[in-house]
Amino acid sequence: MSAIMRVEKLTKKFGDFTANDSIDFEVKKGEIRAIIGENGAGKTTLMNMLYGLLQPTSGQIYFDEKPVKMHSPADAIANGIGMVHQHFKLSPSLTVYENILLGIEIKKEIKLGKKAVKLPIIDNSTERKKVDELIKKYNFNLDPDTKIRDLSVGARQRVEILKMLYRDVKMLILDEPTAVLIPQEIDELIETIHGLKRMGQTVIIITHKLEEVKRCADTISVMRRGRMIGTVQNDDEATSEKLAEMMVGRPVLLSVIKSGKPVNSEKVLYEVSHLSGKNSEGRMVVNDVSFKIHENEILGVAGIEGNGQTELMYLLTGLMKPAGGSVKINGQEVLQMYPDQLRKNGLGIVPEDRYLQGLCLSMPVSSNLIAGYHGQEKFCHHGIMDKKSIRKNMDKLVDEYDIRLSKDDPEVSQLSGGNGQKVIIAREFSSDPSVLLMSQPTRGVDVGATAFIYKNILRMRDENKAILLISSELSEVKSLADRIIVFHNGEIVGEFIADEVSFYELGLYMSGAKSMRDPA
Amino acid sequence: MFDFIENLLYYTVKLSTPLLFCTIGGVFVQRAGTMNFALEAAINTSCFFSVLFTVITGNTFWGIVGAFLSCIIINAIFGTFVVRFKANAVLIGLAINMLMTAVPPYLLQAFFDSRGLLMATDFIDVNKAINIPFLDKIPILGPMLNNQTPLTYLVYLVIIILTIVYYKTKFGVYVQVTGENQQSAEAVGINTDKIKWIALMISACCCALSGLNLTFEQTGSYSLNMSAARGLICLAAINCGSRRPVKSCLYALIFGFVRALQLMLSSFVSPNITLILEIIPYLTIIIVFIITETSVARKTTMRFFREE
Repeated sequence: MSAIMRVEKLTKKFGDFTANDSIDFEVKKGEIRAIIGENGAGKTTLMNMLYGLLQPTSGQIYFDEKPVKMHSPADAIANGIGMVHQHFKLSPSLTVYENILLGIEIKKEIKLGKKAVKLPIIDNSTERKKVDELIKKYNFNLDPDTKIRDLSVGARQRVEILKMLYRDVKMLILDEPTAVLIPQEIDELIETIHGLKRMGQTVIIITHKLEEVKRCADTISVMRRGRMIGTVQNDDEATSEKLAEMMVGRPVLLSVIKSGKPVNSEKVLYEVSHLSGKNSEGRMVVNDVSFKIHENEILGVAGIEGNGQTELMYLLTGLMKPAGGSVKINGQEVLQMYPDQLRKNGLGIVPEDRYLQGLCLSMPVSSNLIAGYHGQEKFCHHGIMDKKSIRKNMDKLVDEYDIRLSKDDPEVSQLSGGNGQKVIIAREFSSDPSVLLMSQPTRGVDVGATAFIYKNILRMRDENKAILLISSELSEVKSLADRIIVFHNGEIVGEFIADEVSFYELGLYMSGAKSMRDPA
Repeated sequence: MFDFIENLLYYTVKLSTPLLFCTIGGVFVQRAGTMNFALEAAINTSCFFSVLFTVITGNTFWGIVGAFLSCIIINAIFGTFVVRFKANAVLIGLAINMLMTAVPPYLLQAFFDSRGLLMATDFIDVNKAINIPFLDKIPILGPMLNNQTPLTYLVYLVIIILTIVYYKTKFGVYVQVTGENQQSAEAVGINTDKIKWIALMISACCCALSGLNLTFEQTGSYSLNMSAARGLICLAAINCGSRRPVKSCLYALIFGFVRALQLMLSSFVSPNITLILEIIPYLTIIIVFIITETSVARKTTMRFFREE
């Protein structure tokens, strides 16, 4: 088989920082190639160059044996390279077919005698017919008339793939395609990818999830710190452990080890009963939710994103007005309280969006490490901040939580995602809360920092805390939590002991196919 | 009483014309994701240059050319800063508005020795009312729609055409996508800057027509700040109408209606009270805003930040 794309000495520099360092690699026609690497290894930079979003500092891209230069995604598509981004680029208020034909709309034609005249008006029925044919050809389960905002994440992804196929691309790049999917949708996606291969497509998958790579790739390329470390055949020799070692550069422990300390089921530290909340459109986004968390227990919340987990966190942390219910910390009612009062009542909060709710980017690390606790006597006397004790607090936490700073007390904006998250973890864990609420604690965090954060979460559990862990990474919930509740449509549809349930079973509940609320 | 209502409706249609022109054009700019604060300046510019060019050349044709050219230049300045250099649209709009309150009095003082008025009634015949005989036979609607000026009839045609453009053509869809999710537009190779520029030019032409309606069909002269915050009223209409063409135009009609109401009432009262009555249109905007915005605020359940 011949190479469809070849890259020679491709380099991309941002100022002093080399994101891609002299990369050579080639992709064969009709193969499924996975490119793996940690966050920040330079995978996305490389793909953005192949898709015309970034221009290489030096080096050359060959496509179909011809040297190509791409200045925009439109150039890349014209050359036959298509990309589906991790964050979909679709217009929610338009329909499936309108999104697919966006930019290449078909105009209405009318016959005047023998001449066909094109009107400046869009021909909706022809557009719909063409998209319908395409959906049938690739056997995608979609209705061309649905608005994007009414589609599930998996379906949106198929729309993005169709958008590229409609444009006749010969090579399809998928950026972190499984990040937002449930297990069943991942199965479907892998099926789709194999289908595309059978129809002659070349597919490149960028990901850091080894499991899926093992299941669908023909060959695997590994990137680390801006370099291409190597390409291997996906066979029995390429084990997950070996690939992870190639990614990180040293052996890594992929599994989490629990201490085995039993849950103290006598003592309930956190109790939520019949909690409900409406969003601004008046839709019930959290509907009659009840759960208890005991001492020495991690309760995991699994679910596809957008099923009420975000709003649950808003309700529990006092950012959103509840529609009803009750929340008790250690028996004391805390519903309707604002975050500062909640913290005084022994709640630690690790919010979902690190930069929006967790950190103040333009302020130094020392200030961020006391944010939310700045009223405490040890940091503030008679309304005046005590610089010395704030400083001492930082020195202690930076050391304890292994926060890596480039210089003395920099602004948080200069920290990597992993270190930024460690600042929040350090702040919330060190305040000695009795209950910890955590949402997406390792999102965008590298493997090393993730392991460190896991270790600390388990340590907090063993120090008699009650922990709520909301995460879209199902493996994270399953390996850390003692008990798992599954969210679907703002309701709890299942509750399981973490060690006794399979991923597949969880997926059924997450997608809404099964529910403990059903009488069946 | 019946006369009063007939007159009120007639003036509603008449006085809504400049608002409708400005609103339907502004919808495109607003929807493409740019806050066009310079609508006010554009109307004012159109009024001034239409009269100025007419007086200088003695020909209304050049007055019309002047109105269009000047509005295009104003919007081009706005576009250069806001679209090209990504400057803050509100500040640039405000600056242009200020500029255009200063330029006309300066030119009037320098060349016509007048601080606030430029008459062109020698060249412009403001009596352009068109009598459509069969309309008179229809009660209420007849007197309301008959004897209006050409641009008043034109504006409804423009609204129909631009509404079709907005919903049915490529350009209209691109405008909507650009405002909703600029990245999704750019990902398929749509030049969003170009879309914004075209929207700005549509808006410029509409503002020119709006100004022409004021000078050529209503006053025949230019007086300082004769746009009287119409541009800002239109911004309010566009905002209340959620940047949709027909809905925004309905709000513009409401504002035109209260303007007419104010005009009608002032003929019944003493001059002192007339001045107070002039706040009615602006008071209406505040009330409309209170109604539309509080309903949004009441619905939101977030305590600190609103979600996108």
